[in-house]
Amino acid sequence: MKTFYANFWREMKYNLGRRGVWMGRLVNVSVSILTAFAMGIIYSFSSDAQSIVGIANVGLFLLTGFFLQYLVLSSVTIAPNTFWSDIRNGSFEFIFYYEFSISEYIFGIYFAQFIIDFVISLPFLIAIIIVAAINSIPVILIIAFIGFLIFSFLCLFSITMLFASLYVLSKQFMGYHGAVTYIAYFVCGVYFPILGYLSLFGQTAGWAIIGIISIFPYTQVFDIARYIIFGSSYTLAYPALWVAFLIMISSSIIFYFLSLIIFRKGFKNLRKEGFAAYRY
Amino acid sequence: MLKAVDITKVYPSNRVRALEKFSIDIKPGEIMGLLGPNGAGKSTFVRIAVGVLDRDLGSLSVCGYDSDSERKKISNLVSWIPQEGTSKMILNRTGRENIIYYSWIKGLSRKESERRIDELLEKLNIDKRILNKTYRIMSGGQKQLTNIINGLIMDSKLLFCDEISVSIDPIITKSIYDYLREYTSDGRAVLLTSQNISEVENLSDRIAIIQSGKLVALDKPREISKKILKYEVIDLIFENDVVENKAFSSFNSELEEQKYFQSEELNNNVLHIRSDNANKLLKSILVLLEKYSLNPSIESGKANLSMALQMLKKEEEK
Repeated sequence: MKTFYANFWREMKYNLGRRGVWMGRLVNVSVSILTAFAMGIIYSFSSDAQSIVGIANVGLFLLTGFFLQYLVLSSVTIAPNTFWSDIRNGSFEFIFYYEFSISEYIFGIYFAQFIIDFVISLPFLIAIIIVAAINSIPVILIIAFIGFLIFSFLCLFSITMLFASLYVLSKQFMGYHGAVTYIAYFVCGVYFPILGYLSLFGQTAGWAIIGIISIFPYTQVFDIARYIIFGSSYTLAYPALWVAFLIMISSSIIFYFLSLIIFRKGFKNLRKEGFAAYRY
Repeated sequence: MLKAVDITKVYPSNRVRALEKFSIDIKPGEIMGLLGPNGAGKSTFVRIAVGVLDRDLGSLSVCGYDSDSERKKISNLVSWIPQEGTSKMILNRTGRENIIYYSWIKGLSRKESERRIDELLEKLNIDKRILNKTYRIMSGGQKQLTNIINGLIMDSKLLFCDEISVSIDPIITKSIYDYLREYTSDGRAVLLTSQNISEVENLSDRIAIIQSGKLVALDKPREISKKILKYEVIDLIFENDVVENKAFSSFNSELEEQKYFQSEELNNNVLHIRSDNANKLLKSILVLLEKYSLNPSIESGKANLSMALQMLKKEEEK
């Protein structure tokens, strides 16, 4: 566990002492709210979309999406980026010859980022609880929602590992990562249910999108979270909640082991080429 | 302690042959100096020996363990101080935070790291405040000192030091070298790379010379110095362009026939003449210059490492 503790400490120590970092995160929150709001307007005016009745429910729908996106998915982005800068600067070279666990390395950074995001997101969690209370949603569901957040955080670690491993395998992945992430947010139902708009893509492309997003854990995270709140899912519309859970857990396990295979290949390349080849 | 046999490495991205059948052995308690000019393959060898770079051919054992099958065992026995600028620590953390972080991963507790850092700072006469700076804003020398403390903190059996004295002031360099002597007194070993012969000759028990990835010489410092320092250079600095000058061409052809002449190179109107006895060759040169009415400025001195190695290589080829 020494690699995990060292990386967790490194991230926490740096972030806790710097006001600029907290301000930056608050700006990120604000940008995410605006994005969710804009997407919500499009959703509200769309006759194709599955309806969510009542303005408070629309607000709740968006808040859950935004909250999950900010709380869980920003760590998924930050942890691989930190890892990539460690490789690019050569910082990773200082421990590359040592006995260390890559899973612990990434998880240390990922967990620290989650804690920071959780603290910053607390006001929004309170907002969700208030909106839920207005809609007479039982408190037990809110507790279940928070429990699910922690569960999804663990599942999405597989995506974090996958992104990080792709950085090692291909230097170009750094350039594509941003685009991949935002397309994934879009199609996995972060801002609005994609099912309502599938007709825009045509039948073949529509089925292809469903196929891809079905195995991507993001989709399940958002669907299950909203299922807990609303009692029905909005992206894939599973017949039962356990199916979503099963897919989420299975795909997470598969992505995690896939990332380990990619890491092994990437590290082999890194040992062959040398770190200098990974610098700009 | 380390045995490398016929190590060959070609970088796949640019097809550069960095090492060519390079062999070396380091005994317990020994400081081995690895001397060579820029791009000779010193850092490549160190990276291979440490385990961050794979070799293409050859065999390598470190502390009695095979580097392929027992890499994990080796990792706990070696430490590495990379050349400043090639590997950077985490840029937005302080020097102290960086060292604690790396030694934590290597198995040292935070408390123990703090204690060892303070002990090393005192022993090496380094100002404590340096490590409180963020790595990004440190000067080259301060970064190198941070790297050095990070390398020394684990007290490993085999220490690789890659051009560690670059950008460090002479007083601290002396403390570091004194510390390295003490370090090897109980059987631990050090591999020290450098471009500067005077730096390694006083410290090393043996010196290996590497050029273009090949081992040129491996001997005791006194023997190596004799080989290297015997070469001298005479520079004739001409004011005008001499390439088209007939008198210069005739001077040049006669110069090549002189005793003690080894080789020459014309670069920006400066003729670098290499010799194994500059004093005697200088007399002949003065006669020739007068004969052809040439009047350059003359400078003479010891050949730099790169020139000396070229001459040594030519001599061995003969």
